[in-house]
Formats: sequence, C-alpha cells, structure tokens
Amino acid sequence: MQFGSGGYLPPAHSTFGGCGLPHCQIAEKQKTYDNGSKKLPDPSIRLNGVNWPAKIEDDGARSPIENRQFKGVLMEKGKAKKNKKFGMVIDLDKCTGCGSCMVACMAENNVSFREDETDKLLSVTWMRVYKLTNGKPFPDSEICYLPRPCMHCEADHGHSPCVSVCPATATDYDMNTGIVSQIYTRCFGCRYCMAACPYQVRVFNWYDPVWPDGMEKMLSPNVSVRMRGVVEKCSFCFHRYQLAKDKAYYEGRQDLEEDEYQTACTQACPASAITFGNLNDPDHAITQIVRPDHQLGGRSKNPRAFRLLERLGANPKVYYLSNREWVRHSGDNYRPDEVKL
Amino acid sequence: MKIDRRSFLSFVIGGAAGTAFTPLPWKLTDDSAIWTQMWPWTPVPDYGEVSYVNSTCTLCPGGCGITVRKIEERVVKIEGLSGHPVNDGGLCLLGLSGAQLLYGPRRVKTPLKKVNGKFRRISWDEAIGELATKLADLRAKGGSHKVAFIAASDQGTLPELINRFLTVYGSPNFIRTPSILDSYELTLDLMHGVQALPGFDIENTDFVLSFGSGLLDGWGSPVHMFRANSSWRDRKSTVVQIEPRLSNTAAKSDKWIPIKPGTEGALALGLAHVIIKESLYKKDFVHNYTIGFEKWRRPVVDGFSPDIVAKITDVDQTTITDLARKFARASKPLAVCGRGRGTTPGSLKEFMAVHALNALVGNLNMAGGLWTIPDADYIDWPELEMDDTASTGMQKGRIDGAGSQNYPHARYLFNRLSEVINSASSPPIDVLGVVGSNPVYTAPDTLSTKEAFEKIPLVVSFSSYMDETAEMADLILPNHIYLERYEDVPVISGIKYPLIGLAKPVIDPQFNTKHTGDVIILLAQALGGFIANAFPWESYEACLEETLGDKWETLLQQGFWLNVSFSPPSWAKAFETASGKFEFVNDQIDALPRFSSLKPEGKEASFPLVLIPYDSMRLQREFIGNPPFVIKTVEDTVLKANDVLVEISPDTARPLGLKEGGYAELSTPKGSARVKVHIYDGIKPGLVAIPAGLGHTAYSKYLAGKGVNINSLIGPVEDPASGHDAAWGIRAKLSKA
Repeated sequence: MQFGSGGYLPPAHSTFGGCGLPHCQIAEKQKTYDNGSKKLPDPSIRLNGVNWPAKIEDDGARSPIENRQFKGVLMEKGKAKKNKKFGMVIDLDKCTGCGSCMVACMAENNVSFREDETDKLLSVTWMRVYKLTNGKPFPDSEICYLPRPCMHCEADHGHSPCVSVCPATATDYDMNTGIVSQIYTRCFGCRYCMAACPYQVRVFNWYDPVWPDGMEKMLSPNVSVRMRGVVEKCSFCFHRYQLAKDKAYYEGRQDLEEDEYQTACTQACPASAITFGNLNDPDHAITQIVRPDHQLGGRSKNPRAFRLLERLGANPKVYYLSNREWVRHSGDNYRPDEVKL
Repeated sequence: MKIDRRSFLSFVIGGAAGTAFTPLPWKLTDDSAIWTQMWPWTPVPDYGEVSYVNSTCTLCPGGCGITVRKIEERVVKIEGLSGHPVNDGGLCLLGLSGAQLLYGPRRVKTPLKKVNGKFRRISWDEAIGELATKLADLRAKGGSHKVAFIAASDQGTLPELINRFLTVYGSPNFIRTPSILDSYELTLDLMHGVQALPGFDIENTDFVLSFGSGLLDGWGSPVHMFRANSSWRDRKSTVVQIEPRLSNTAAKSDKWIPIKPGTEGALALGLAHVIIKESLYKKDFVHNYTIGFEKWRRPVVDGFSPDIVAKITDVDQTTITDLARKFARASKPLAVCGRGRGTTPGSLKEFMAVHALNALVGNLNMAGGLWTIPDADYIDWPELEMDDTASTGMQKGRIDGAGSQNYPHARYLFNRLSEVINSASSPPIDVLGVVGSNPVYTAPDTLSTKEAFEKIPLVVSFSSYMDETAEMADLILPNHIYLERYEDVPVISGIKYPLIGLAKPVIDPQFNTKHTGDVIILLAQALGGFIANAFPWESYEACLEETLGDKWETLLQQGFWLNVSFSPPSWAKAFETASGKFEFVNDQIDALPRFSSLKPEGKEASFPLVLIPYDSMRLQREFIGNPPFVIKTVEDTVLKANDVLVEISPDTARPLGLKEGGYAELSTPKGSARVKVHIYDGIKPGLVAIPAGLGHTAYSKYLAGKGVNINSLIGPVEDPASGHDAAWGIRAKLSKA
C-alpha cells in the first residue's frame, strides 16, 4: 500500500503521519528522503516501456517530487482507472440532520473538544452538517441538511487545491486510492491549504487538545492525536483501509470486498444516507448510484446527483443526491438569470 | 573599509548563496516545527489487542444493539450492531458517545453522604446500613407508605425488583417518569380494553399522519425511526407532519401543515368528519367490530366540519378535506401522536381522537397499522408473602393520587408530586429513591420541584452521574453505568414485536459503584423477615439469569430476544372491552368528542406570545445530559457561547425591534431568562420556540451553564381527562434587552 510517500511502518504508525513521537518523526524523514535503494527508475524512461502497468501496484517509497512524477505517468498512460478511487454519495433526502456522522467521526478519529464549541470557525470537526434553507418565508420555507466531509478533490491529475499549495508536502493526493492525506508531523501550520480549500474542510488546531482526566482512555491508537499548531481534516477513515488491507493480506487476499472498508460516518448513519465505495469499481453501489463520467472529471450522470461547486473544477469525490431542485442548486453559485427557483 | 557597489553586491550575493547552501536555516525551520509540535502533553494512545463486545444501549428506551470496540481494557468506540432488529448497524449520536459517559468527569465514583451540605465519601456497608436502618425505623413507626421510588420504566427486572421491594415493604409509591406511553396505554385501555403497549408497523405503512410527533427528532426508538424514514423515501410513502414549527421531521415530510399549537385534536376530528361524511371509512371494521360509532359520529359530524375546524386550527378547509381523503384512501395509513420526543403525556382526548382515525381506516393490528403489544411477561417470580405492616401500607392511597377517585385511570402521576409535597403541612414522603432519572432537571417547573425535593427528609439517588437530582440528594448510591452492568431491556418504544435486549458488562466497573439491583437485594436482606424472604437471589445477576430462564443463553449470545412469530390478535379477538369490541366512546371519561383546547398557562394581555419547546436529536432532554461530543454538534443558531437562541418569525421580531443574534428577555408566568434571538422563517408567527435539553446546572463544564432549561419556564398543565401533564407550551413575553 502506498500512501503519501511511504508505507513501511506498521499500520498504526503509518496512519496519517505516525503517532507524533520523535521516533515517528525520524521514520517520516527516512521514508521521505533516505530511500535511495528503493528509488524508482526515471519515469520518463518507463513511459516508453511496455511493462509499465504491471508496476502500478508498486509500493516503493518515493520522494514528493518522484511521487508527482509517478502520478503524471499514471495519468498519461490512462491507467488511473485501474486504481481505486474512493468516493462518497450522500442522499440528502434521507439525511435527517441527526448528527450521528459527526459524532461517529469524532469518536473514530480522536477529535478533540473544548468547553465552548459554538464558535464554529474554531471548532475542530472533520464532518460538519450544514443546514440549508430555501430562503422562502413562512409557510413555504424548507430546510435541508448537508453533511460535509473532506471532498478528496481529484481536480486535474490529482492537483487538489490544498495539495498544490502545501509547502511541506504534508498533504498529498494518493493516486492509488484517491484519498487526500494529511500528515500532521509534517504540517507546520502555515494554513495555506485552509485558504486554498474551496470547501472549508480544513481546521487548524489553535489550542492544545485536552481530555478531561480519565477520558484519554477512550483514545484510539489507530489515529494519532493532533497537537496544537497543525491543520487536520477528514481522511475517509484511511486507517480503516489500512486495517482492512492488513487483514486481507494475512488472509492471503489481494483485494478488499466493498463492505470491508467503510468510513465511520457511513457505518453509523442511522438513515443509511451515506454510501461509500470505489468509484472505479462498477460493482460498487456508489458507482451504480453516481454513474461517474470519468471523461468529465467524474461528473455524475445521475440527474439527482450534484457536487459542491461543480464548476470550480476541483472534481470532488463526494456526491450529493436530492430530488429537490433548490437543494441541488444550492451546491453552486449561480447567477439569477441561470436558475429560476 | 570602503563599501563600494562591487563589494556590496559581492556581500549580498555571497550571503544569499551561503544562506542557500548552508543547511542551518532549513534545519532550524524543521526543528522549530518539530519543537513547536512535540508537546509532551499531547496524549499518545496505547496499542493493544482489539476486541469487540456486543451489548444493548440503555441510554434511551430505544433499545439499540451496540458493539463496543476495546483496546485491552479500554473502551475506545461504540458502534451500532449489524443485524439487530432495532438499528441494524446505525446508531444515534448519544449512543456513539457512550465512552464519554463511561470516562466522563462527572461520574459518581463512590457512595456519598451529604453532611452539612457537603458530600462525604462513605463505604457501601455504611451506605446500605444507614438506608436500611432508616427504612426499618420508618416501617416500625407505621410510615412504610411514605417511601417512594421514581424510575424511568416499570418494565424489566430492575423496576420489578424495586416494585417488589416497595410492595413487601408496604408502599404503593412506585412512580414512573412521564411520557406519551402514559397516554397511549390509557387510550388502548379505554378503547381496546387491553393493557398493552402501542406498536407501530412503520416498515409497512405507506401514509404516515403525524400529529406533532418528532418522528426524526427522537420520538419512539430514534434509530428505528430514521431507518423507517429512509424506507418511506425508497417506497415513495407519504409523510404528513402537523406541527407549528418546521422541525427536522417537518422538513423531511412530504407535507408540513403548520397548525395552531394545541388544536391537533380538533384537526383529527375534522379529518374524521370528512372521512365519515364522504363515507371513506372501513365499513367492515366499523360496523362489525366497534361499538358506539353512531354516538360518536353525531358530534363529529355536527361540530367538526372543515370550516369550523379551519377556524380553530388555522389550517385551511381544502387542506383538511384533501388530507382526509388522501389518508383514508391510502392502502396502509397510520396516524400517530405525542409531541416531539414524547416526553410529555399530552391530552388524552387528543390521543383518543387520533386513535379514532386509525380505527376509521381499520388499521388496528393490520399490516402498516397500529398493533397492540402485550407487556413483557417473562418475569414470573413466586407470590409475595406480606406481613400486616406491608398490607396496611399498600392499602394507603398513592401519594400522587393515581388510581384514586379523582384520577381513576392514571397509573402514575409524577407531575402531581411537587404540588402534593409542597402543599402538605408535613412531608408526605420521608424517603425518596431516584433510579435512572433526573427529575430535578426534567420535571416542569424547576423551582417548585426543587422546593419539593428540599422538603423530603431523605432523597437517595442511584445515579451514575452527578446530575441535578444527585446534587440535591442526601445519599448517593452510584449504579454502574450501562457498559458495566447487566440489565434486561424490554423494548417499549413502538417496535412492533415483543423484543428484549440485554445490556451486559463490556468492561469492569471503573469506580466503586454497585448495581442498583444488588443494592435492593442487600437492602431487603438487611431488613430481614418477609422482606428478605421475597428476595431469594444472592445477586442481581443470579436473579436475572433465573428470571430470563431459557431466553438467557440467546440473550447472552445474540444480545436480544425477539418473538418473530408474534402477530397481533385478529379483530374478533383483539378487544377485551365489556362489549368485546373497539369502543369509540367511553362513558367513564366522557370521551365524547367535545373539543376544548387546553389553554397554555398565563394571560394573553401580559404575555402576548406563546412559548413552545422543541426537540432535536442533538440535545438530550431526559436522564442523560449531552456528553461533550454531542454538545459539540449543536448549531450556533441554537447555542452561542452560553446563550440559548430562541426562534421567532420575522413578523414577530419586527414590531418588537428584535434582530438576529440580539439579546432579549424571555418571561413566562413561571420565570424569565436572558436569551438571544434567532429569526427563523420556519415558525408560525406569534410563537417563540426554545430548544429543550439545555440549561443544566450539574454535569461538567462541557454542559453546565449553557442555555436555559425549558422546565424553569414552563409548568405542568393537568389534563382533566387523565390527570397527566398535557402542557404543550406557555404564554410568554419577549422584550429587547
């Protein structure tokens, strides 16, 4: 498994930047820079080679620059489809705004909390449920809830808005899974990515995470606790993917079943409004619902479906479904003459 | 040295090149990043073996199956149990944050006794000994009936143990906290003649008519309802929500009918009028299996024509006629009631009017309709042997008056407790036990509830948390929390099958707590004689295993026991009234449909607006307060810093000069509070809506002191038909502050 730029640590340590201890820091650096013997041959030579596709599953550690080249090669060869592209579709007609996804995410990912969480700009939340209104007066007013995880934008060739601006390579688009990573120990808190993210999914840790006495017992070792001064965001529960892959490996299997890797929010949703899976696998429910057009950056062929800020071209992998036109139109900015509601 | 242009440039370029090539700045930047992040106080969770333990969530009556992920002996995450008949993998946000309750900072860690206003740690032996001595003294003085217990449920082994203890001790005062179950039980008792729980076949219904029930706001078994809602979407069923505020349920419904609050019963009769007039009712059922239809029909036809009902309810005539036709013509229609989460019993006549709609369309005990579910019958303990003291005590009337001449039908009247205690010259209760409930917070009219609790000489709390009631208690005997104990959970919240869940210890008790069931058994043994004889078990666990008998193994392994072969009795056998038929009218309570709206407390002249509470999944208003994760999900249009936002319509705000986010003084006949204003288009003008579940004074800093407790602003309104609390709102005034 290749993620970010390395996958040689035991699962718990390779999760989103390791545990944060000094030994992990060193490991991070080693993965990034001290991999001379594991370097891929120059991709430009590979380009002309006939055997290239066989190497796609290669999990060699690469430097950030090599990683980008690697992605470019994949794209040019048009083999990205062989990779996984995890995405999510949320049925807004089923979502009741109950908040289970938010709490499932917090509990799964060791999200911290403070005494006052009502300033939502400071509130660390990976999954946030927005309340949309149609703006009409009583009694024609309507509301709709919209859960918003990280969109894991593919943009063009994996140049997600946040990935493009990160000076520390703390965030990266993984061509194998389509997941945008965040490595906390690399992040030094410049917050360029927060400015770049069109969806405001990224949050900065302004404060030390503090658990009341005894409550740190509920922390999961699968996800490292973030410290003050770094940016964090939804990972599509990447550690669950790693654990599932480990399990499959031990059982001698190459690939995962659809239900083996599901995010915490998908699993918890009491309304079953969230469907998660591999957009490149035609057998997965999400692909059948979304019917992505890979020629058009994954735009959905389902008339019920829409993505947030579709026209921005960030090509997010989170889709929404609604029968209501005003809900679908609230996903983007339209001029008054474009839309009549 | 002279600095010329050449040397200057050499210096700058050389410096730049030197800086670029030396690793020092990069190293320093890197080190500073590391140094500023490697806070030693950032916790590093330990690794360990992962295991999963299945159990049942008891945080609400919903009865969801849970699977608890543990790392060694730590509870790390709670998830929904796949394949469970209630929730099938999904879980609500409260259930998901259970680990925060387990490790929460406000657990009661050891038995506590209040001495001079401060809690002092005592041992279990001392605590139980002290309580036993007090109870023995009281009993010897002939005051056994002055002991009362409040519990959230009267079903299951633990409530039965408490009830058994009270009976053999000599007190009839087992009190269940109020809910819509009170009204539904009474409705089924009067109209069907059965002692049963309502079960809703929501999986099969294709038209849901909800009279203000927060189907997606915590009514019934919340996760079960969410699943049902998704299946309604898939099956293109119709949901109509009748309520004055655009709640989440209303937002998800196919049609929202904003009604004048408190007039829901009239609308139900208006719909009945149209159904009768247009002969849309199910004639087979009404003619062959009911009695009193003619008598009931006349006042409905005369008094509830759409034009009259439109005036009462603010719902226009065509909507009423249309709705009645659609409801009656649907193949499997279902009408439900009980406002919001269903924490207030409500008006009995309203329940009966809504239930009559179900009868008219003939959905009783039919697919997609309302089923009568018999009470769980697995508790079959030996007959009690009682001494004279116990018999004498049991013959004294209940303190709350339930079952007396004035309230012949009610079983429990929790809402009357404060009034009875406060108006008595000497305390009618000497010892009050509180199990699995937090009445000081949840009872309407907080001030008078506190006054009443202060008057009770000995309040014993069995709470696991330092909640409002525990803070007022004289003795706290902390129970294990649900993740640390065995408990059978007969699911009572509208599931259509008889279902028992089993909560079992997923982790050893974290503190010096004791199962309340064990405490009751120990108390009985300490009291000796007939009382001890009534409890032949050595522990609660032994009692539970023996009680559940052949179900025990299934429960241990599967986590639940479900009677799948259950089907409700057919119409010919379903009704156990004197006539053996469904009774539209019941002369005992003068149930003729003469609708009179239960007025909210207060005078319109001084309180021009009406305050209504609203429920949300993200705010827990019952026994359990919001854990940190749950309070974190509350929107900033509901709570901002420590201020609660009340919702009013723009039309109401304008003349009062109120602006979004501005402060206002909210006053009612019961009290006043400083609030912020949220202008909301989804609320009927003239109303003020306030979220229920805030304003805790106890619990940790993550919850205490945030917002206002609705119960401090509202008082109970007694339903003349049943005696239960039927308050749905209170008159209020809002002024700029």
